[in-house]
Parts: sequence; structure tokens; C-alpha cells
Amino acid sequence: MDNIDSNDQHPLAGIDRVIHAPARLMVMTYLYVVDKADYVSLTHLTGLTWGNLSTHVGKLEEAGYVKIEKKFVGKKPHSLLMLTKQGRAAFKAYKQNLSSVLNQLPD
Amino acid sequence: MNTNINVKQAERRAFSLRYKDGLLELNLGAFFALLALVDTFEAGGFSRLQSYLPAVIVFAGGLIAYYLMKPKVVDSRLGMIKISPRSNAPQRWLLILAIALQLVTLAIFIMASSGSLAGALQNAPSWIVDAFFGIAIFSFFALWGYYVGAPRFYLYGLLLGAAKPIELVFWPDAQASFPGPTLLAGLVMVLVGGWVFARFLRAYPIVSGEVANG
Repeated sequence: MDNIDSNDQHPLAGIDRVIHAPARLMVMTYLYVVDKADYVSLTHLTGLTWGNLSTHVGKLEEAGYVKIEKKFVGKKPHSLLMLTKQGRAAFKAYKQNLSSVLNQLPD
Repeated sequence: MNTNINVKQAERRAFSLRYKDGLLELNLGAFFALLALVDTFEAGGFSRLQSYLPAVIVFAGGLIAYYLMKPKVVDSRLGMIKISPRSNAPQRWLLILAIALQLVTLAIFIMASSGSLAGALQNAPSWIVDAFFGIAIFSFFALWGYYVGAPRFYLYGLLLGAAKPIELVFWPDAQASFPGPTLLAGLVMVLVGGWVFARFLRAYPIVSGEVANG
């Protein structure tokens, strides 16, 4: 039986699965275009519930793609989310990878 | 759940979040409405400076009030977004273009008033300056509305840009500048801004607890 050469694998096989989930992809997309955003604005932009957003942000933080900056606004704690350099690079690579595959498909 | 992953549309959606409250047009609308009444105030006996004062006070006061109440009224409902300088670049260029257009218009106006313009420009009818000014105003608001995804800015641009030409066409013999069209534009901005603000308060309740604190 022929062994499958690793070069025969589809380009999407190695896609970043941390980013590839729809909810995390939305979060990454919005953080890519803004410098920083807090949870409230991200829930409005993505339409995700607070719990759902919190879970996905946790996974992105675990992967090193998102950083959370905690500060105080008045006396209240406030968190701002932003992409790390690694996260920004990973998103660019994901975008290029996906575009290069999808753009080759016929209409 | 919104599944849009178009980066340009995401950018516009993030920008448009900052204009959901309608407070900017409440301020700008009141400013333009009072600016339209400058000649009327002057005809009523006030000095030129005194006639401009209400517009300046409303504009400056409105901006100060906005920044003071923004955290409690706006940020507590919409959250906070900090736009990167890279993404903000088109709006910065738009602002530079708008300022440049206004300065050119002002320079032409001053030169025409002082008789410094040579030849054909000096003899050009004054409506050319108003038409140029109108196009500049409309372009500014149209581009702004496009970049921030706020279609109602096209209406503001149209009303404000067309105000002077309409005044010249329908009231050419008015002794003082007839405030009607510009005043109407300002009042429409105030009304629309008020309606947007009321809708914003209903659609975006104050967020508290763990969501607000992250």
C-alpha cells in the first residue's frame, strides 16, 4: 500500500484550529481591526453571549493569541482585550492560507 | 450570531459602534442651527462677535459635556474600543482633506471680498464659492458616513451642502443671509440625533456585573 506523502495533504489540513472556530474567528477579526476592545463591545460586535465569549477568549489567551489588560476605571476593574504579536501573525497566516485555497476554487 | 469575517466590514462595524449614540449630531446640529442665525442676530443689534458666541458656546460646551458623560452614558452601554492608528488613517486623511478644502474656500472668499483675485476669478459670480463650499461639505459628510458605516451622514451632507445654493436660488434678494436652509439642516440633525440617542438608550441598556468588569 502506498504511504501517503505529507506533501499530498490538503493545505487546509494544517489550518490553525484555534482560530478556525467561527466564534473565535469573529473575536480575532474584530481584535485585528481595532487596537483594544472590552468584553461589552465584543459582545455587541460578535453577538456572542458573555459566557460564550469568555470561554472562547480563554482559549485564545491559552494559545497566546490574545492578551488581557486589566485596569481600573474609577473604582471598577475593567479588562481590555488585544491581540498579541503572535496572535496578529497567526491571524494573518490563517487569512492568507484560507484565501489562497478558496481563491483557487472555480465559481 | 453574526458570522461576517470580512475584515473591511468588521472595521466599519467597529467604527459604527462609536456613532450609535447620536450625541455628535445633536451637538453639530445645534452648532449649525445657531451658526445660521449669526446674520439674524447681527441684524437684531448684536456685534459680529456676540452673534457667533451662542454657536461657539454650544459647540465647545457640547464637546466638554460629551466627554464628561461619555463613560457613564455611552461606555457603560457600548463598551470601549480603541481604534488603532492604522485603521484610523482614512479618517485622519479625511479630516486633513476637509480642513484643506475649508481653508481653500476661506482663502478664495477673503480674496474675492478684498478684490485681490485677478481676472476671471474676480468677476466670477459669488455663487461659485457657495457651490464649492457646498460640494466640500457634502463630500466631507459623505466620506465620513461611508468610513464609519453611518448612512444618515449622507443626509446631513446633502442638507448642509445644498443649503447655501438653495438660499441663493430661492431668496436671492434677502438683505441678510437667509437662515432658513442652514437652520433647517441644523434642526434636522438635532432631531435625527435625538431620535438616534433615544433609540440607543432603549437598544443598549447599561451593562453591569461581570460582563462590564470583564
